[in-house]
Amino acid sequence: MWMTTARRGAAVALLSLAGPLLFVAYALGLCVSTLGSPWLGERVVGWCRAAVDRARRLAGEWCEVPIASPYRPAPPAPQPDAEGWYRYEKTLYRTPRVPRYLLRVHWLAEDPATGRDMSWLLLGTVVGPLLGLLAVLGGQPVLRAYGRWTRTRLAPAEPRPWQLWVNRGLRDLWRLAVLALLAVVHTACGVVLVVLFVLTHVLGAFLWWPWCAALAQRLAGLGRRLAGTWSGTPVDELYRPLVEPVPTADGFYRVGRELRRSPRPALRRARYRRAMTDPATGRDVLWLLGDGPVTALLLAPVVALCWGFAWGLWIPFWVWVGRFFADYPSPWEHVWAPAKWLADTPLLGGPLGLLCGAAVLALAPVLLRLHGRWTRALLAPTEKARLAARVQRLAETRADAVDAEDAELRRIERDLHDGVQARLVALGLKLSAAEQLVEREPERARELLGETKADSGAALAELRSLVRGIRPPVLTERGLVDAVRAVALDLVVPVEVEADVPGRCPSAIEAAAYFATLELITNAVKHGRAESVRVQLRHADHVLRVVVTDDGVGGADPELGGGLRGIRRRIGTFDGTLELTSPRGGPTAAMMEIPCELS
Amino acid sequence: MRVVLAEDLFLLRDGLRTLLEAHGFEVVAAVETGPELERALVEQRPDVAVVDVRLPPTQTDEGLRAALAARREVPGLPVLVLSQHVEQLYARELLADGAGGVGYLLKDRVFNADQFLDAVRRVAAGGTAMDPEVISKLVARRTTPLQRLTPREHEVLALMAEGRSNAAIAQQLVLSDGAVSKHIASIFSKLDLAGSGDSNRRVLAVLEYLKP
Repeated sequence: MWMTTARRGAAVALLSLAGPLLFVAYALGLCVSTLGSPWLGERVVGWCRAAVDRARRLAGEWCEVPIASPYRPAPPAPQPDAEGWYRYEKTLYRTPRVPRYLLRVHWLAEDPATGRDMSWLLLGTVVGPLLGLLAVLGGQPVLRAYGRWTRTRLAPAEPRPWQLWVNRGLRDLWRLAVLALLAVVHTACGVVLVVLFVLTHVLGAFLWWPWCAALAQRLAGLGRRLAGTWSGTPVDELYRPLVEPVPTADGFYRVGRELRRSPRPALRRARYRRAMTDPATGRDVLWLLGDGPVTALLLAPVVALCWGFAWGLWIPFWVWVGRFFADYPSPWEHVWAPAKWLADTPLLGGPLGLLCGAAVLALAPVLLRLHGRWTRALLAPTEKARLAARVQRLAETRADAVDAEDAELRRIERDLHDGVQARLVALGLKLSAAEQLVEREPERARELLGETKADSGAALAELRSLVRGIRPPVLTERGLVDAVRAVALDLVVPVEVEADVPGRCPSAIEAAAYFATLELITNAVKHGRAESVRVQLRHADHVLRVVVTDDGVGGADPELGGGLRGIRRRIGTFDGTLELTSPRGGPTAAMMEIPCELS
Repeated sequence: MRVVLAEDLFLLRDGLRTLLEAHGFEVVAAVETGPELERALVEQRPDVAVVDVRLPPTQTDEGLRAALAARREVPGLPVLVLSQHVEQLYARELLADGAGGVGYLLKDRVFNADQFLDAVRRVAAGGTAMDPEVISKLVARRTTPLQRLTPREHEVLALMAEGRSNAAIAQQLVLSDGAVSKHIASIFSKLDLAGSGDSNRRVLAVLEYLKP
């Protein structure tokens, strides 16, 4: 028994010495796979992982501490969409090679078990021989201790709250560093842009200015995106739309007082006009100029605290570690006095340094948020710009609404004129004929009267269907939900209606939502060849939400279908939106949202 | 027979009153709003009520709701609902309590005085009178127990749902009265309707037919 433990201890000690070798192989594997040969890299990493897995098994067999394997499963191979494109995040690729490579690299690099494996390999080089040799003397308990230590590094781990806090602090610190670098670039670009502005206008090359403004827009756009993803303060981008030059009736474009055949000079002028009149451009340049100083101000406390951490704890600690190996005099004889004092009094400097380190981690997220606020203050669209965009949108939707109303009235007029009116005229003719015949041929007159009765019924039926097209009576009497239910009952295809609308929407919105829903259901049955349709109506947070899902063939495209565009226009008048997901092969889901209040 | 009449348009109300009184009905109340109708129904307890769906003050389905409320108070109170348009949704609500004695017709059916008065009498007697338009929309929707019926039985059941008597069904389909009775008995057995009074079973069969 003792012999086995001794042998095992010796084996552990020897095997641990291979740690650095495996570590290097692991690191090389990761490098090779990121540098474009994922196949080879993955092979190498796979071997290293197999070796570490063997260590896990041995920990179970020899040290009585079984350890589960913590690796994430390999990502599935990328699948093409209906048109044969492969998607990775927001980009489409023609072949699966690149998405597959990106997927696998991320899978290897982002698995926390990878880092833990590598740390175990390095630390094991020290701990392994030590405990292994001790196990030769001390037997099983020491081996068990070694197994437990291995488990702390190699078992699947859930990060603890404090670890998460530290990780978040370090992550935000890193982001701040990147932002600081960017800020330097921004301020330099800002200065260059101001110089260019003056130069282009002095030299009369002012039509080049829009290109410079576009550069400012690019940089500001990156700033906005980072503010959204890193600082958690999303910033909208809103520039004035370009007013396209309109040709004269005979196809010339006006440039000042001249007329040109080519639209290009006019377009250049329009671009210049926009760059000069859009306040967002000026604000972009201002933000670029100010980003450097503001970020420096924000980072000042971090720098001070980092200084405290370095001189209080970090540098003295490594010097102390170094003294084990070689004796040398104090390295901080000639540094700044406070730093020297901090480094010389470990009893005070140590805790102070630790405190500074913690304060940096606590401050980083706050400062990152503040940076986001600063970005938002200058780069978010001004109230005026928002209003201008809103007015633009309202003008569009109003034009749509007026057109739709006009078309509707024309249709009603035409239907009445060609249908019911004509029928009533015929009815009148038949009645007068019957009147003529009453004396001479009472039998024929009775026949005619019977016909008129049937005709008036037909006229009524026609009016009924016309009324239904204008505004279905059920909608007036019962509201949206029951109107949709009535539609569901009239269809052959089973339509399931789920509703949670505790009240009535405004009448105009009700009608728009009803006709839009009707269109969606009809599309599902007619174009989607659906066998069952599900309609969900819900009103929550001041928004009426209608979702129509079906099990049809899918492949609907809102840009292609005139009906869907019609729905968009119809509900756009009420600031409504329509979102459609319809992969080829189904299922199709259309979600309509219209902000409204219930009565 | 005592009738309560609810219709907001004066011309129609007057026309209906004249028509009903000419054929020996007694119109005990002719009202024009929902609340008045509800009061009249509960106080007068008529033999039958002829009600327009859309009534003031809300101009929504006031008439229908008043009729349903009155039926909750007086179960089986016979109601014939008239409307400019027919909806299966409403038909179903009227039939929901399964007590029979309901009718639902388009207003145009009044043109044909005999058919209309026949419907009023049938509803008063506890039968049903559903508009052919309601029925025709159902033909496309076959539900499970109904799949066992033969096409001929389907025709008979559709006419039953319109509220025709056996004799009328026989006349319409050119069959003998005996044949119609046989079809109806077969329908009852196929729909698992145990014998508990013929008129009740008729109502149950029609309800089964009108189900989604």
